[in-house]
Amino acid sequence: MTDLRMPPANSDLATTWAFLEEGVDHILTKLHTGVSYSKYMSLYTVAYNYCTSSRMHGQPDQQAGSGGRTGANLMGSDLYNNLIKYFVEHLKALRVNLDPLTDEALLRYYAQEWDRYTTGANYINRLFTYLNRHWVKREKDEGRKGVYLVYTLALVQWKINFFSYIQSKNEKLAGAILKLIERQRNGESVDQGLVKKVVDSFVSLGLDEQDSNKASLEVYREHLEGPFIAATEKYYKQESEAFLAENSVSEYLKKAEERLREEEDRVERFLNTNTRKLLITRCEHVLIREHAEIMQEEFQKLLDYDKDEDLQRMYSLLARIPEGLEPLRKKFEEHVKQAGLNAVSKLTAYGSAIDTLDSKAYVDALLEVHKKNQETVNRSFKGEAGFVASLDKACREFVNRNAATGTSSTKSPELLAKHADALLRKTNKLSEEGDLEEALNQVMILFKYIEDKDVFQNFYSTKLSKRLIHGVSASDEAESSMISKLKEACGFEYTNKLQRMFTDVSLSKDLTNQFKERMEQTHDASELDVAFSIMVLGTNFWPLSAPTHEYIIPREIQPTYDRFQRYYQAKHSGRKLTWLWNYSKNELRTNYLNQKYMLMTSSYQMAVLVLYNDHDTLSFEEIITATAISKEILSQVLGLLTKAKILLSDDNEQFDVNPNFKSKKIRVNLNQPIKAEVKAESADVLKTVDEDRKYVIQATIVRIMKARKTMKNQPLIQEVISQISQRFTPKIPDIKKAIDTLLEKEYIERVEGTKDTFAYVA
Amino acid sequence: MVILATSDNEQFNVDKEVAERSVLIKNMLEGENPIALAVAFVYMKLNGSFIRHEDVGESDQSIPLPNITSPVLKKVLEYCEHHRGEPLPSGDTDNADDVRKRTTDISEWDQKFITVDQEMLFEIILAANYLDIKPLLDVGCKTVANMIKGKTPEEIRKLFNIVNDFTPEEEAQIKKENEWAEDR
Amino acid sequence: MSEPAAVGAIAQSCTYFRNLIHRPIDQHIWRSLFLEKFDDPRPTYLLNGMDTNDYPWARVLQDRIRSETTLARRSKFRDLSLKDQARVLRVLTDTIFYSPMTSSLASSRDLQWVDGLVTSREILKGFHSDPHPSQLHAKLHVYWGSTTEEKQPSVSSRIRLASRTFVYDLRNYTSANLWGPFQDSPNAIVSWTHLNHLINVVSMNLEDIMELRDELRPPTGLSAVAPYTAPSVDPSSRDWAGIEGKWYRYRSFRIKHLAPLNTSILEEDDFQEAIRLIELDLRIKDIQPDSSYPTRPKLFFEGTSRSTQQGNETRVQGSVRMTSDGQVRWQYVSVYDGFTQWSSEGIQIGGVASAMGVIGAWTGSRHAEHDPVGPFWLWKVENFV
Repeated sequence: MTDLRMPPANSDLATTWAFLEEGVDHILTKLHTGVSYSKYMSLYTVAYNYCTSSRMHGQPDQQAGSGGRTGANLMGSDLYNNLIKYFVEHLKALRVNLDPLTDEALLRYYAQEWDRYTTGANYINRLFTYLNRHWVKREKDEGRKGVYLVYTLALVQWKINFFSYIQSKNEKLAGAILKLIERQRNGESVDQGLVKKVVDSFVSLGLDEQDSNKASLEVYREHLEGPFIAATEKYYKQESEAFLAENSVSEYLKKAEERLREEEDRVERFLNTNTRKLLITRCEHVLIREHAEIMQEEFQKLLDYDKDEDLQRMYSLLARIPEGLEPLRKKFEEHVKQAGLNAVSKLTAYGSAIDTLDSKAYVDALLEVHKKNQETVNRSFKGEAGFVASLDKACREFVNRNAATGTSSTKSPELLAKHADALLRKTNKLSEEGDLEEALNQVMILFKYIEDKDVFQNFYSTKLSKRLIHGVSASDEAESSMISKLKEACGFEYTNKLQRMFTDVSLSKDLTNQFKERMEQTHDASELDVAFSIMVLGTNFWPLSAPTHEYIIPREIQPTYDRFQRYYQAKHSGRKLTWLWNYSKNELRTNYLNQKYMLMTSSYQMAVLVLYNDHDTLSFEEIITATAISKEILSQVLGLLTKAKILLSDDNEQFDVNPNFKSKKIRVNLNQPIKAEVKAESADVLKTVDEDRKYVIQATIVRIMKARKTMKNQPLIQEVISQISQRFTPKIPDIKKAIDTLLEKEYIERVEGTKDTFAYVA
Repeated sequence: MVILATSDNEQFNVDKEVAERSVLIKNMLEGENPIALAVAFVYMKLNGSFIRHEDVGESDQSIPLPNITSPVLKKVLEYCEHHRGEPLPSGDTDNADDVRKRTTDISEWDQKFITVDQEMLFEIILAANYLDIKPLLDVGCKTVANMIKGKTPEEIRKLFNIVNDFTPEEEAQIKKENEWAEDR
Repeated sequence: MSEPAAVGAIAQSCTYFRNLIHRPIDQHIWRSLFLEKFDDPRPTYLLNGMDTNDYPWARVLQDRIRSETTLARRSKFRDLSLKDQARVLRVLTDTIFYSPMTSSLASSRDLQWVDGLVTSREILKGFHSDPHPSQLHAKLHVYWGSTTEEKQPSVSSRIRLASRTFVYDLRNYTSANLWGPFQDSPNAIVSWTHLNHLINVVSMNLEDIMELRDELRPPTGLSAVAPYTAPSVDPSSRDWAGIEGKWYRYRSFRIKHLAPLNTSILEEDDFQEAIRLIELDLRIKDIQPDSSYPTRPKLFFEGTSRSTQQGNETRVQGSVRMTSDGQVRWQYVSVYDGFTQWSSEGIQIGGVASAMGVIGAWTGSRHAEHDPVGPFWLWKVENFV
């Protein structure tokens, strides 16, 4: 190590710099030989002494000019300028080796020199700490541009004299990086560490004028990121076009996915993380956006052939670009809707008339379509909300409007209610409890899509009442489970009646028992030879109507009737009991035949049959007189009895008891529904629905007006629709009619001087 | 341990932690490790032999401090010893906290420590500046400022042996220049 | 004696130090001295479009120190000569006007300095009983807000009476003062005494409403008059005044219009004064250069105005520009059914885009003889409550 003698404290610039330059050069070019403490200290001290010299010796300052001012100048600009001169010459010398180098060799040379230079500069920076702390800081404080800390100065000079020199030759440096990256894209392995080092130097050279601690990405952006993005776009544009020309879309999906993953990885490995967003966006553009139409066209085919994996891939790719999924969602919606319509058409095509369409087959067909496509949404589209909405929209469409429903919006709710009824009856074959629960859940899936939920409600309550009256419900648990499902979906109000029906039945059981006990206490056993059970049902909750005609209570049951009537009135005075003979049933024991049979009958049949306790033959007119049953019903009652050969008649005028009646079964069920009643049922339900709707609309209007006091016509109608649409879709003329009715009844009034503003009348 | 050598050739054995209160020494010692090790490695590979001891592993070499005499260094080391382990001020001198700290009063120990004759006071300030020990520099400057505070120009001249070189005309001018600060 | 004063003393010891201090080749010494004691004014200066390298560190610092020493000379502020009073008031109000963006009084050394002097030197004591306060004194009072002394019921009712009498007197609105809080001058020079009355009326009306939520009270105090303390303001955008966004506006008016006005009416208990809260949503429509203020072009805005009680919406349009005395002036009219209805003239209190907002007066836009008049207070909010 050649040590110059350290110059004394007040040396001039030439002496000082000669000493410093040797040290600086040593550090930059021969750092591997080490720097001794004494060398370090003498270099620092010489720089320090020079910087502090003006103040120490009060030398007149050259810069301050006239007036003999000896202001608070700091020495330093000379050292700073000499450092610049040195860096410039040092870097110019490095350029000599550059010209023949290209590509990887260039990168190697650049990276090696960068390492050496920055390590040395870091060291030099410390030697000039005093210059940095005082002269440089003060220049910066005065707002002087282009003055840097020594380390930064070294980088600035590198950028000007070395980096820009290489880049000025056709962007040779960035070009070499891009070439290496292209080779990697083509499948070759490259020295990633080398690329990363050079890329990092681009970042280091971005210097923020305001704040030297902050890296600015300016150089990196301009010299590398821009060209890199352009090259990437060009590369993938060519590749994707060539690939699609020779391969299927499915293959392309795989390719694009893989390429995107690779690029994300590349950014991670050796580019600046800030490039990530831009790079990926541009790649997505070239690889996906540019080919989106082809993919979207292929979508239908993938759906038709259930290509789950491809669907999944297409979804993930198109999800990355704006608006990429919208066409898929539309196509999917159409696809599901068509599938639903086809499934129903197939059913109706098999000849079954719409009226006799099997509710189970119908419901199963709808559910099948829903299930399949729900699975597609979950598996291939990650349950994405947009596709869920498409599925729902499509299901709502085909559930409410299909070949089976025609234009009627009430058909689907009716069939669904029927299906639910079948499930909840004893006769249902679903043995396991879990199976039934699952089947009810399936019902709820379709229920969600039903638009006229009030129609379902009415059919359901009619069916429920039947199940309860006739005691044919599969289980109480299943019934209440279904009610709570409906409650969850539509709220308390929706299931209130159903709940009450349920309660009535269980209260009636208690009532029957209490009545029986009471009678046993107050009457002799001989008086109680008729077994009796009763159901007392709240008029407002049950969809049942009282008989429209007279009925003469047979004397055989008159005492029981009277006793219960008295018992009940005593218990609940003021309540009116209406006897629904048309729903009652009876069991009669025969003792006029050798074999004792048990006849299961309706009240009408019973009334007719007990007449034969006193007669062997009776005419039609006589029976009418004795029972007061209407002609129409009586002829059906008698028809059934003669068909069952309990009674005999040649002319349907005179009816004889059959003394030779025979049956294979001991229990003979004569109680079959009367045809007229069955047909009327659907019509009744629908009529009830219409009445209910009128009432619901009116009630809603009153509720809204009470809250708002005044409202214009149009917003009022909107509000009504939005409040009711949960239950059914109200028709605007119906709403207008309801408004008129309420005006008439003076619940609301027109505001004076306006055409279409209403006010609530308190 | 590091060995510090003053301009009058005295050597001081000091704990590294104490010596590194001086940012100058801290920077140099920090610089040594990575560079010396890397260099030693490169050197071995190049020459196939071990390098001479004094070139790299200099830890038992003394660190010359050519601008400092032994009485001053002794005094400075006393300060460093007392404040060892305290956090060093951050490099950013514009930091508002540092500014506040600088304007607060001198601690009791520091006050006692800095009670020295004027010449030693100035030597300590220069040494702190050279060795880059900012808290000590602050204590020194603050002490000088306190000496000046509340004094008339005449008193200041007397205190620091300053010769009044103003002409009478200049005196009048100067009065006007400093009117803003007069509280009378 | 402060440390800058010590520097002054050294400067007088010999030529070397004099030159070092008073003939420096750069700003280093004065900047350091300044920053030891006060906030760095450069960010605000930059935002005002000025070159921070030209910041007069020495002059501003010397002015502030001079204020301290001047105040220290007499035990009472009012014993100072009028010239000295004016000089001190100008330094204090300028310090507030140019104080850096801040979030609170505690975080600003500039504001704390002002706060300390105003309090310890009782600069605003007895201000309310001065029948003809100077404009600068009024300006400081406008920035400061009411003092504890003024909050005593007997004092405050007297102030209220005086301010109501002034604010609702139509004779105080003429073409000469541009129908707003200006002095009678063609150049729109702000009348701080007038502004002071306007603020008094609105803020006392608000104090009557005890249950008012804090979000519906306009911000006041020194930290609310510092520049750029209003929400949703980007000082570097074209919207230098922070116009765009949501604003609240209180408007007070007399319910009876009785002319001519005399004091006895106002003393009656049944003097009916109402206050309304209005929501505005403003956006910039046009920008035109202002030759006197190259970095502060005239901003033209429009928007909607909606009463929080009735919900009626009207359109507003107006402009923001600098006055010749360096204040931010707001002018706007409300348009109803295609006709301009009310016109308002206001001044941003404190620095540009201050949190305290704009205070001024509104009148009928045609200034007809019996048109009503009243004060308003407009301030910016992040969101409506």
